[in-house]
Amino acid sequence: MNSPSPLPFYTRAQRALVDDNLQKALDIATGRMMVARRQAIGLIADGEAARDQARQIRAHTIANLGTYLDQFVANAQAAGAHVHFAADAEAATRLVVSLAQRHEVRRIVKGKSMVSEEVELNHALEAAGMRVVETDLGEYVIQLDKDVPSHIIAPIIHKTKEQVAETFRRELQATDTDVAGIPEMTAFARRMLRAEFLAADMGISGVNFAVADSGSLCLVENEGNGRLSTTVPRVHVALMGLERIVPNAQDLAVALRVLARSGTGQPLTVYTNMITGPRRDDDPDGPSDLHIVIVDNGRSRLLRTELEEILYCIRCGACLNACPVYQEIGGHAYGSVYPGPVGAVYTPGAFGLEPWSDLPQASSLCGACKEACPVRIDIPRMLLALRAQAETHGLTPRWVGAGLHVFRIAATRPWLFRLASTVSRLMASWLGPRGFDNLPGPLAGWTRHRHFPAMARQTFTERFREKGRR
Amino acid sequence: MSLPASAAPPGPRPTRAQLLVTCLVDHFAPDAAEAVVQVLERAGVEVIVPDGQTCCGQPACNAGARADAAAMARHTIALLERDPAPIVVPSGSCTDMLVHQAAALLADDPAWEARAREVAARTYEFTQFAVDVLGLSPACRGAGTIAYHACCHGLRGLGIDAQPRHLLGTVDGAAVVALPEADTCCGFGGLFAVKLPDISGAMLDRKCRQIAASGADTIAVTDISCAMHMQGGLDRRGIAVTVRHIAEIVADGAA
Amino acid sequence: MTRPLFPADVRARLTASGPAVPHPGPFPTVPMPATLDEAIAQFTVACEAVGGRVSRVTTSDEAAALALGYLESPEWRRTGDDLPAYVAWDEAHLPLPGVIAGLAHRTTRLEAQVSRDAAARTDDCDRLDRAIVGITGAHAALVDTGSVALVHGGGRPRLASVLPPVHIALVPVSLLHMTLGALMAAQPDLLRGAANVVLVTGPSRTADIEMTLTRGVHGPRLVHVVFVG
Repeated sequence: MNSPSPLPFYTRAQRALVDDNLQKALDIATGRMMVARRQAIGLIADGEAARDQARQIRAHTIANLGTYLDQFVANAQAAGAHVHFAADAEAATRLVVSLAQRHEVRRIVKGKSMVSEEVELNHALEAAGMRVVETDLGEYVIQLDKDVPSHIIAPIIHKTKEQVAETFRRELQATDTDVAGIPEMTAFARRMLRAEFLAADMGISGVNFAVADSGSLCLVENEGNGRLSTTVPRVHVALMGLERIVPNAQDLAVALRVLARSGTGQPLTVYTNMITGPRRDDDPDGPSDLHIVIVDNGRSRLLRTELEEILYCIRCGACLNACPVYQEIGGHAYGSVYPGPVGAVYTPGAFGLEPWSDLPQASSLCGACKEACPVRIDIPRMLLALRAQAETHGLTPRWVGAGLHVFRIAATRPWLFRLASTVSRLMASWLGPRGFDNLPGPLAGWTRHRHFPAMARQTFTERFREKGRR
Repeated sequence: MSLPASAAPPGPRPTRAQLLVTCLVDHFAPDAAEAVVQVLERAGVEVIVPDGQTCCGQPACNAGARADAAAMARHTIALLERDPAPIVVPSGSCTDMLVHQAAALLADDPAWEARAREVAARTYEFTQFAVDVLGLSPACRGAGTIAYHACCHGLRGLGIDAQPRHLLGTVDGAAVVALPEADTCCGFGGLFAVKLPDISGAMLDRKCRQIAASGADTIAVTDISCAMHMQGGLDRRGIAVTVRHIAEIVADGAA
Repeated sequence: MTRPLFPADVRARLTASGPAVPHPGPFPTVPMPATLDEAIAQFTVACEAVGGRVSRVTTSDEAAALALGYLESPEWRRTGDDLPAYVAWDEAHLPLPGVIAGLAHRTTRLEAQVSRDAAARTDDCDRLDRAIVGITGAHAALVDTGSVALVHGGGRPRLASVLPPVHIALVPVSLLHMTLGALMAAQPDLLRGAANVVLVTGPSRTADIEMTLTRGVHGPRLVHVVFVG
């Protein structure tokens, strides 16, 4: 998933804009989640203070990431977990495949994990002959459809219930009764997946937070699939991004205080799983082995750069819902596992600017993302930084850079600016005294959607000076 | 209506102000600048218009053309430094450029960074200056139905929301109604509207639908750039609504 | 250890110095309501808002009757079972140990131990899957979110609160905390002390399809928090 789709971003976006089902789904979903978030954060008296605290905790952790990672690793090992490191996607998949082989695993259930999507884990496991089943309802549908998620926390935001019913009929031979409505489809998926859970040898999960001072993993979820994936199978493999650390349990509580409220508007997710090592001697159940795979895959390269702040992200999805561009085009157009404003920074930052240089352009820089972010990440600032990098590396259309450069030459020489102003106003009054509806070249895009206004015959400055004023 | 604590610097109320016209207002909406001058002069503030104004560099900054943006910012800063009077800008975007972006663009040159900060400290968007610095509640008169759209850089860059709403709250004779999703971007975004016109157009479409649903016949804004975009969209869709700079509405009423 | 976990280049980036950013220190916790009744009332509002049920009992007979109500309801009956089955934490970990005795004769209690052996393990899980009700104690209840904290360990199986469609959590009223932050501040070693701690905030749910809320996915459809005392 960290190789871009063959189609350029803008072509994908244009397709999304004319996809009626997607447009309907996006309107409903992003609207509801935004309302829910505003209510949820507004509901707690210390909501804004908790955001400040969470931001400070994330900033402190990222500034001292080496120390806290070491502490986490030592404590997780002391609790009996095996800790591994994967430098990139290929190393991560190779590692998980070899762990599965070593434990003689045939059947795998997966909880939701962004990292596993990022490294394309399923393909590798299936190629090694294992049965892998996604167990989050949305991810399950995605897997059956061979589709990709379009939202960090609502993977099938782009599908209607009719499309899901069709998938269940086609792939699982569901009857009309099974897919009569959303509750029936949910019950049907529960039955299908319960059998998978009970028969699985290995459960794979993501990690929302890793607590340094106890070596604990925290996984949040609503369906119970995360609990089952990390409890029923005899082996649990957790994939975590390098930056998922919080110093201690009290800091974890603060992060959790803003996470679900920002994401879905819930006070807490239904299940907050906190796992410290494998099953202990007197535990009646739980996995006998816990493997924690710490994945870098471009993350450490962001440390101490102007993009470091994106590592504060707690993956709530609020910036997606708040973003007017995301609201129009949905997640797929971005072509990355990490869509929306956070993805427009994270994807080129971690996976390379060259193939992803379009994404930082996909913003009107309105700042709604920064406003919605529970840890107040300055996404617009980093979009600008990436645009500057793209400009420096010649990754933007030449007419933009050249045009701005010519403009700058005039704009730093008032006599030339006045001359250019007079000439363009003369031409404009001659060619389009009432404005324009069909401009050529780069401005054609403007007039496709809007009238271009007429220029003033006389500028304000000319009028002002005519009155003899300075 | 509650107002934020005044951002006014301690000391006497200013009697002079420099107007940074901004290139878009100068070329596409000179009436808006005239209105700013009228409002300020009626409040007893002498307005001067420094010579040599071009563009503050905001579009280049947004495009990531840092060197070009920095050059234009230096030019603008230099011409505003010639006078110690506070600077009034009829645009949230250009104000944000001078107040926040310029110093960041010039950060590798400490002398210029300091000059940028000095200018930033006395730069105000028009409604900010009118309400926070001058404490104006002009007795305006208007007609019809007015709604306010909050332009992004003013709202989220500068924290401007109460000030324009306060000014509109004093308009007599016109009904002021709420615009649904008033704080959602109209889709302009500078070069965004030209580089990704269909996405921008979809956002504009939504904004036009909300404007039509609001029942307003006039939309008040603090940025002419967003006004051009929205007016162009409304005209194309045959929606008979006028988008105006808020200074014009304030100036009108008190004439 | 044979070789360091992080390669040299990654370690260098991880430890590169930047501007110092201090830890913000502890976050002030919201105070508890003045009285126990208020705390329970507030918990109840929060728990019911997320679809949970809340009761308060004083005797094991009341608790057993409540459990039997679910166990013997036609809504949850499984075909092929003579007596409705449940799984529970050991009596030593329940605030009302008499509950188990109260359920005898009319129900089957399933053995909660899951084998470490791969083959036997699947049989154990299949057996536990027959349970209609899971009865657990709890380590804490969180007033502001309507959550219960389950600390798993000897005699406190994890599966009791996730496999059955109904989960009954018996919580002594003395274990109410205002927030998760307050609980963690009061018990900083909580996570170290158990391999598995779960906060349960209402019944299992999904809104994946068209953002339409559906309760009861992989975990219980019904969560009933029963305060004791």
